[in-house]
Amino acid sequence: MTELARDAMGDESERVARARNGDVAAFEGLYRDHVGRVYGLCLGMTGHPATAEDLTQDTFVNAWRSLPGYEGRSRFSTWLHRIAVNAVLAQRRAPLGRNEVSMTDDEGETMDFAAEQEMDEATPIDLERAIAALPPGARDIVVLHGIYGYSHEEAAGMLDLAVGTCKAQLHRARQLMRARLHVEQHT
Amino acid sequence: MTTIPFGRGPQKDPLLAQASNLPQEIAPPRDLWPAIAARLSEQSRAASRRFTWPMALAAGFLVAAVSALLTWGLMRDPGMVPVNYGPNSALGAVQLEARDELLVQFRQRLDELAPETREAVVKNLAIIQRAADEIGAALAQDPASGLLNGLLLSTYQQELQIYSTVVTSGDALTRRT
Repeated sequence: MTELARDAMGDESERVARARNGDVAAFEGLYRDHVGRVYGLCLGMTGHPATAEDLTQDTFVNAWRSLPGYEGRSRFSTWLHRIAVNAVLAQRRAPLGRNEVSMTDDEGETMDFAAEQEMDEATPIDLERAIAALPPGARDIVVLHGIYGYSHEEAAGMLDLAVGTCKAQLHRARQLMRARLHVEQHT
Repeated sequence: MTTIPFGRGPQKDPLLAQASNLPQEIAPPRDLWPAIAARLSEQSRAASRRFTWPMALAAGFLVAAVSALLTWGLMRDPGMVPVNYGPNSALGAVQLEARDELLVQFRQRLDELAPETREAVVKNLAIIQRAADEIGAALAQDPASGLLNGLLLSTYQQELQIYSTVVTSGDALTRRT
């Protein structure tokens, strides 16, 4: 879709209104505007490009289905991100998410780490690799709070967690990332 | 006691400050729209095949209205409207033909009944119709149910019993003059 065509479709609220009435072209405009952030969010939370592609598709299909219930009380992008987070969590609840392995730590607690082979060694920024290697719960809060700037309250609402749990996950994430980056710097 | 520095903003933590500079927008490696559009199209086709709530509600009203009309017709002139066992009934043509033969005789006797007797007969037939409606609705969900088909047969036999009683009754049931 050209910029000219996108301009012709009007502003976002108008496109949302048209999409709610079944206008697929208007919805495609919304897709074009938001796909980068939705895919980025899914990629950040899963660490796997193929899975992120599937979840991005699920997000927009679910959004289309849920559009009649969107009342505009939150920004469209926030509403879309909630749907994306739900898609990621639903995929994670499915029997052992794709490309994730389950491990048990010394205290017997289950810890899920992104599979090492999926880590892109060519990634120029060590921090991205450190985030990708985090266990899912810690990774979620770093992505939502750290990268996308959602408050603890907003992130907790999206993840259906207590605010305190989110803060604890963030603390844990910082420790794990520091440890990983420290190891990398000394190897 | 060690306290966890909750609530520190990204700008106060070097790692989170770096994280906030990571790109929020990442283009997927391929255009996902064609696959999404195909799924939306499939969804629309499936939705058009489905009963919507308003349609289901309208259908419910229609069933209720037909049932009420049948009951009203039975109350008004029970001799003209035999019990309707619905499309899921396992009753065969032979059974319904036998019922119809008895019905002809029942209609002939009906007008001769005393008013209170006639009213009692009408009420009993209305009860049978309601039972047949309920069993028919359950059979629509579970057509192979032996229990429901047995209940429907029992209802049919009760209807025949009423017709038979009226037809074979003596002067005790007839209109007082």
